[in-house]
Amino acid sequence: MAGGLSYIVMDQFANLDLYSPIGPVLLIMVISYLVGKVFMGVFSMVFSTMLQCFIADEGMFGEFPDARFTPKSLHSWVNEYEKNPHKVQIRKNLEISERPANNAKPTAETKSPKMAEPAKIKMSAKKETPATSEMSDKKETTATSEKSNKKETTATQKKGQVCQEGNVS
Amino acid sequence: MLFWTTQFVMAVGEMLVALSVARWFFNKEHDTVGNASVFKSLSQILFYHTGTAALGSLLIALVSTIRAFFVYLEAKVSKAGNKYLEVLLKCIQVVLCCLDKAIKYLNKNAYIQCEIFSTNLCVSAREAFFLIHRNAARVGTLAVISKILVL
Repeated sequence: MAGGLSYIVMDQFANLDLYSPIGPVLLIMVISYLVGKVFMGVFSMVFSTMLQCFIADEGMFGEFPDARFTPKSLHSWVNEYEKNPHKVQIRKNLEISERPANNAKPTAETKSPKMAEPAKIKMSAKKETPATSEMSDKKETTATSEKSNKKETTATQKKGQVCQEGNVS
Repeated sequence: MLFWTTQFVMAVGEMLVALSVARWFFNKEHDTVGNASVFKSLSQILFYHTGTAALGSLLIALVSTIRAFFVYLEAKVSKAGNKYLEVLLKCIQVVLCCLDKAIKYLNKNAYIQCEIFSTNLCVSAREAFFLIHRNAARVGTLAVISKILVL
């Protein structure tokens, strides 16, 4: 994508004395791939850490729901979902469409789409109207769930990235 | 030595992310966690978890050194023109690549487990392996979905 974009920009707007814009475009594609990989590496690390935290939390405080660190809405939802997926799926979708997106508990929103099937994400994404319309590439279907993820993780993300860069340099 | 150093730096970075997220997760009020927690966790890692990072990165570094040695050997053999030996070396490289990936995956989960429970590398690797083994369905589902998201 970045390659195509940069090709158009170079072809149309920049009056450079180049034989062909393919070389720089390839360079830009490589660089953007590397940057994207680094960014997504942090993302995946956060995902797997949160999953492991959740499972560890369940292992430690499974019998004492009040003492758990996960929000109540999340773990009760997960329990219900694992008992009978289809009933909870329909009910939850209705609930999501009823309440406005801003009031929803952040962590519950973050985890619930991840635990569900992809089909469920699509359904809820269609019903929900996104609060802020910030278009990301081709991910209309997963846009809403990803946005709620992003809101939360960006804080940690940025910190992690800053410190990673600090370590490298 | 070069492999070890790079892997060590990467390990510390991974541990930093893991510890920050774990700090945020195991806190009743998520809003109270500020920017300072990253620096706290950085100092905590540098004080307490450098040994874990060093051991984990040493494992990866050993495997990648062996891989580099086989690449060198293959270049020599292809100059000499021995087809059978070349194919054999390629097979060995594939196996080593698989081993490398597996160790990296195990290490990553071991680091996370180490950050959550502050256990040492071997214990946390074993614990993390059985944790994934117990919850294989969840982990698999999440892995597939996060792959789709990342794409």
